[in-house]
Parts: sequence; structure tokens; C-alpha cells
Amino acid sequence: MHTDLDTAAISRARFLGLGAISGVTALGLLARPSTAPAAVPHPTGDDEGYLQVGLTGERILASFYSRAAHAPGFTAGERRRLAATGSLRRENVRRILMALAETPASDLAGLVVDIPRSALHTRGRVLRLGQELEGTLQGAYVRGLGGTADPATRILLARLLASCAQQLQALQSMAGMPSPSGLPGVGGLESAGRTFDRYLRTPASP
Amino acid sequence: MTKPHMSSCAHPRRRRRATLASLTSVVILGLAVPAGAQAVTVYAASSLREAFPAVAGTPTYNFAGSNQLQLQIERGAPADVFASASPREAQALFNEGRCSRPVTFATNTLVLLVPKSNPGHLRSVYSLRGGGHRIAVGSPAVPIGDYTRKLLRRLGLSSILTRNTVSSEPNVGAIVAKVALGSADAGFTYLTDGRTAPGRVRAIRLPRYAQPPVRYQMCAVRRPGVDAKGASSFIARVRSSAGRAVLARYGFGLPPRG
Repeated sequence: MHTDLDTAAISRARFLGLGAISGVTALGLLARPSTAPAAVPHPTGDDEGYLQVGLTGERILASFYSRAAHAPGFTAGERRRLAATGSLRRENVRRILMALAETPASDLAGLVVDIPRSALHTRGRVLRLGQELEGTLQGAYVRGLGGTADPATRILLARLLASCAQQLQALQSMAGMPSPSGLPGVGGLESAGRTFDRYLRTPASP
Repeated sequence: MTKPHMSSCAHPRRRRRATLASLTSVVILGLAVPAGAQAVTVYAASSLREAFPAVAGTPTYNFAGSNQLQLQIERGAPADVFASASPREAQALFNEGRCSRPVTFATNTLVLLVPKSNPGHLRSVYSLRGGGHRIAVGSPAVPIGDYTRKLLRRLGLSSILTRNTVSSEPNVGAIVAKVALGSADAGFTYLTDGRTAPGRVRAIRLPRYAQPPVRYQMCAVRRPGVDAKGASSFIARVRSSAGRAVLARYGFGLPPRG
């Protein structure tokens, strides 16, 4: 019953869901004024807030997928996919850090990702946590598409959103859930921050 | 005749006693106060006002905004040790050859301080989005002001500095005072400052993911006539296990031992 996404047939609902994500991504890309250069993001003002929450979410997800690949109850194909997704998220972290490099607040303050072992004990728990994290991050990215001032930052967020939506659907598929159709919901930075804060910890002083 | 005789006999004894007494007091004072400690002058960030005297009571302290202290030292103020609330000021003095290589000795986190009665009915930093509140913020030049602006950018909340009535304060002590006296509905301070006015203020936590790294650095000042021995002794004391324990008691974070 545990379907590997690589071999799964695409249902009508999932097809529509992916189409909706692509639509939102395309809207984000098209919202860019034609005169603006698209290459390097220069986040201005509160743009940084969306990238910062994205950076935090991607860091947590990179750690989550790396550990989920060793959790019990997954097939070899699923483990490979989870591990590959971990690498993809690390690449996303790098992309966001590059975008933040020109701003003064790109330091990560020495926080470490701390996902409780109990959250990764069973296949069901892994998939639930993964969906929660991906869904939260997806909502923050959708919010960012409408709120960013810098066109290149908006394009980066649109690409990150597409990647996020794809992974969320993969997790839903593994959980045997029907893929949602329609547009992804808009999330707030406040609720995303609350969710992600639960998995961050300041290293204990020696 | 008797008197002079008696006095001639008593004088050497009295003198010996007096000499012994003064020697004893010198020895006692010498034991009580380590060499140089009495003379050492420490210029430290306002947020260290409570903790540093608890670490060492003998130095002469001057607490103010780190940027102000940096300026004073650049102009030749008689400081022996400089402790700033961010690396920027200490590193600037080091680069100018005015102090030794700075060392990180403590960390901190930012909070939103509100009066105990919370007249603005603020529940989180996001409550400030609506505008109409009076908030006290450090000026951009002072570390707390710089950290606050970084934090707000990371939260996507820079706009609250334009939507509310903002007072720009020269140091963190002034922010705490404004909030404690009710002149501001809220103020951005360090976690440790919330403890300096218990009963009058309440700290609202800020999202961990958006916290900028707050690092305190310290260095021995280089100038003619500096008490170098006293300065290095003070720095060693702050970084010792006992010093770290005091800092931790006052709510500071501690860097790894280096």
C-alpha cells in the first residue's frame, strides 16, 4: 500500500492539485514587472521576513528528511526519495542564504534543529510531521508571493513554493491520502514562526 | 622631670604599636583587594549594569550605550576594560589598535517588554502591526537598536516602526525606564533587562527563529597609564567559572569556553 511516488499513477485529483500549484507559481512569476532584472534577489524591507522564515523551514525540513530516511516502515524506494529530498532542501537553504547574503541579518544565530525522536518513531508520525512542516512552509511561501517587493525575490519564492508543493504531494501520496485540489492556502508568518520555533533550540552552554 | 622621662619611655612603644597597626592594616587591605583591582576602570554596556558588580565589586564602572563608550575611549577616556553588547564596537577599537583582541563572554536574546498592567493589550509582537502604540526602541547606532531592526526585518515587521509612535533611546536602560514608568506601551530590550524591574514590567517572548545573534565582547584597553594587570585580571574573572555562573544567574547565555 505504501506507494513510491516514482512509480505511482497520477490521479485526477493529484493532477489538478499540481496544476493549481503550477498556476500560483506562474502567477508569482508573471507578477514581476517586465522592466525589472530577474537574476539576483535583492530583498528589500520586509522581503527578508519571507526569506528568513523560508530559510528556517528549509533547514528544519532538510534535517527532517535526512532522519526520516532512516525511520522504520518505509520501502527502499521511499527511503531513497526521502534522502534525495533532504539533499534538495539543503540546496534550497543554500539558495536562500545566497539571496540573504547582501543583507545584514543573514546570520543563523547559532540555533540548532531539534526534532524529537518520538516524532520519527513510526511511518505514520513521520508522514504527519512532514505534511505539517511542508504545509506550513507552503503557506508562508504563498503569502510571500503576494507580499514581496523585490521581483527577483518573488521568483525565488515561487520556485521554492513549487518544490515545497511537490514534496507535500509526495508525502500525501505515501500516506495514501487523496491529493487536495484547488489553490494552496495562504499562511501567516506568525503561525509559521510558531510552528518552526518548536523545532529550534539554542545549544546548551557548556 | 618625671613626665619627660615617662614620655621618653612611652614614645618608642607607641611608635612601634602605631607602625605595627599601620603595617597590619596595609597587609589586611592588601589581602582584601587584589593588586590593581581597586584602580581598574570598566566601561560596560548598560545591560551589564546588574551583573558586572555581582561578578566583581571593586572596579569603578561606567555603564552606557556601547557606541557612546566606544567614542569616549577613542577620545582618550581612562578606561581599562571595555565590554560591549555587540562585537561591532569592541572590534572597531581593536582594529584601531586601542584594545586587545576582543573575546566573547556572554550572549543574550531579545524580548518585547511591556508594563505589568499592559495598557496596550499586547499579546505578541504581531499585535504592533495595527499601529497606534507608543514603543521605545534603541537608536540605530546602539547595539539594542541595531539588533531590534534586524529582528523586525527577519519577522517581516519593519513597518511597525512607522505605524506606531516610536521613541529612539540612547541605551537599553532608557528603554526599560520608559516601559516601567508607563511612558511606552512596549519596548524592545534584552531578556536580562526584564529582570531589572520585576513587578513593573513583563517580557513577551519573540520568535526564536528571528533572533539575531547577540554577543557581548570584552577587551583590555590600550592607552598610556592603563592598568593592564588589573584589566586582564578582571577579564579573567568574568570568564572564570565563578564569573560565568553569575552571568548565567542574571539570565545571560554563555559561549563555549575558548
